[in-house]
Amino acid sequence: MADQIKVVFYMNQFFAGIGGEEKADQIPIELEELKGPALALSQVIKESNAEVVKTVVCGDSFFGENEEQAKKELLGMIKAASPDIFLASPAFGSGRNGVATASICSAVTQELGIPAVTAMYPDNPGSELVYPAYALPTSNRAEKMINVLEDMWDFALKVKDGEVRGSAARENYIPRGVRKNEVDESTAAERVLPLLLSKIKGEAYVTEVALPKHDAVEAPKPVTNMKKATLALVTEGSLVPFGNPDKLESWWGEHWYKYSIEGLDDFEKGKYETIHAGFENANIDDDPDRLLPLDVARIAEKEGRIGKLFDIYLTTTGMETATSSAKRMGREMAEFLRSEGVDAAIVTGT
Amino acid sequence: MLELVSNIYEVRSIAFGDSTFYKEGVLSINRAEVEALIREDENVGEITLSLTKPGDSARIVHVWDVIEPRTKVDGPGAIFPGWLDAPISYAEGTMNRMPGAAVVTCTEYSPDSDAYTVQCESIIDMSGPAAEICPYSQTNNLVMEILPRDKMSIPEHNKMVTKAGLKIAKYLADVTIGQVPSKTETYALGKKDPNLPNVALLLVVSGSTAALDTYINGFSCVGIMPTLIHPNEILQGSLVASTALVASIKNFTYDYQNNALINELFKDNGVKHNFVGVVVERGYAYEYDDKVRLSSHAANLIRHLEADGVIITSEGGGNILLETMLACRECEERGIKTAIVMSEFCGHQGTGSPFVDSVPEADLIVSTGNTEELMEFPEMEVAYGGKTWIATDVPSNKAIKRSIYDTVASANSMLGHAKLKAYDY
Repeated sequence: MADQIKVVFYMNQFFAGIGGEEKADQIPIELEELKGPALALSQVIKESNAEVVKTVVCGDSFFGENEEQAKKELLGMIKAASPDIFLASPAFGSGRNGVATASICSAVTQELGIPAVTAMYPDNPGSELVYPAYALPTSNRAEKMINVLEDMWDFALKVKDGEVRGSAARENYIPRGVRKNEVDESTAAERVLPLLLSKIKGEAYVTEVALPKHDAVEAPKPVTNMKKATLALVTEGSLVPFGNPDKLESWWGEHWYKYSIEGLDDFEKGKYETIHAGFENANIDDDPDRLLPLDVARIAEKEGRIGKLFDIYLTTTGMETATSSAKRMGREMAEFLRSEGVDAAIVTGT
Repeated sequence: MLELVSNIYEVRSIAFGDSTFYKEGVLSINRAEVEALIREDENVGEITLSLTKPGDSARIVHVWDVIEPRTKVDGPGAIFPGWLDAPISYAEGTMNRMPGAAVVTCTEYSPDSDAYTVQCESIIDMSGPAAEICPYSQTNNLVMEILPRDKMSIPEHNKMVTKAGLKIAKYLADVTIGQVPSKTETYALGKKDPNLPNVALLLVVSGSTAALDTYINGFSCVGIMPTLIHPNEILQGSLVASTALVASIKNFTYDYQNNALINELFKDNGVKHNFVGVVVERGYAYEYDDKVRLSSHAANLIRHLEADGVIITSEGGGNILLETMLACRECEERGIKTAIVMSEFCGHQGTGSPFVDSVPEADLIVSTGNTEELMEFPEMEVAYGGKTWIATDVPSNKAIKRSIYDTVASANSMLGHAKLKAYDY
């Protein structure tokens, strides 16, 4: 007889029968007995020679406000049971519950390597947090619990056997913010024309690529008096000392560097260069001030139009650079400049 | 009615031989003649000629351009106008073409060349996983590695190699003159059926500097306003690629000659839609206002064609994306529905946002895949075009893991032939 499949199940305080909103601060615990959806699941999985060996519970508020601690404690309880599969009770439209179930599933797969599945309404904010685990789509209202648990179980078995290989649309799970390539049967040309004709005729059409949501960066208050301000020069145009001593990458920027401009009135040709792969470098190499105007900035300093020119410039490569890397580097640069008393920066791009 | 007749001579195999001829699907090529023709340009130094066929355990590196052999056999105008003959182009006449064959030019910038510190790599694997996503893995290729004799400026170097490729493409097709084709196709825009929607095509092409250029009848597109051009002219080589852009999102001359979007628009022309014409817009303008100006003008030309809808392409990365998105906005504001063909930049893990910028009007985008996905490129028995993977010590036939973006020629092409598509996972 094949080995029994061990399952650990997660519920929030409500589904565990502990209480409603007033008990949302429930700390992570293990339940002594099967209840609610855990009990229902145990019936569903019996014929697969599977058993719910442990149920863990956490309050939605407790999880939301103490995520690291909650995850640590829950992972400890889950790991101790050595499950083959981890399931988290469907969250439906409940945002806090969805965030908790998605986050714990994600951690179980990432840190314990165990297949993990939950379910929720596709717009539930938790759906963006579940990768590399899975969330199946449900209605917004909590309904048809047994059906959802059955679907989750079938899906989890497939994940365990390595059979979930296709896209979210094909395998019927909620997209997790990850895009992967496949070779389609038809070319982009064959697909685009019928879609455009539908759009022209006012018929329904679905885009293959959704527009990204860009976060809006709130501009800080303007500098009140430039004559007293310290200004720094920053560029994503890969301006480096000639020879690129630190080997700044020409694309896929992941590093940034600082170089002294103390006592310099401009970037001298032959002493500095650009190694950016996104534009023809000759014009910049000919006069690197064209990329980062040290000459003009120094004159402004001498004339008193700015208080002081910070004597280090910062450089990175903004060509084919992941948005996440750009964000990280920007944050790091800002922290450095702020710690050095810099008030404003000019950032040049290409 | 302006009609282009295309005589088809399919190439099923190629070989070097004592003379250059085409017979029953076999293309024989005389090396000495090819070399002599290339050497008509005194600036050419070393030349290495090789052949690759689909399925070979072979890799071609440092690919510069790919061209399908074509020649104009009847009617006014020339093939590749402005490069080999007078820069006079006509949308009618007869041409011979040789599907199944391609001329592949390869070159390498010398390390002390003036513009680029790092040349972009571009490869064609004739077998293996990369062959599935590269159109030139399916053609019988004459590989011509051409190096300059002396130090050359990048633009001059590019033009030298580009011209050599076009010259040999015509030379090979010339041997079909007088032979009976296996098939004939005709291309014409024809009269518009008032009951069908009018669809135009807007090609946004790279025109950053002389090193990242596209040529229209031999004229650089850097600095030009958008222009109308008949699709039949594009089939005859009016658009020639000459850009050192990154491999998978760069347009090759072959992709203009065999433009999947033009072919698709011709296919059901007069049946499901009216194909009303093509506009070319130069991308990579330096000032934002220029991008707006060019996109506004392109939209006006498309409006002049009385288009109800337009398919818009791009070529390259973030900077030119602005022209494409602005063109989308300008068209939609004039009541012209748009669909964009676009590659995505989701990062190696596929978790990044697909584009760095967009306009809310861009609500219909067809994917040509995540360019930044990593692939394993297996070891091949042999490699042509260069000794090592560019800017590495790794021999070019050896295995390597890299992103599609800076490796596989034309894999994410926004000219429509790509089957690569990114899905939500």
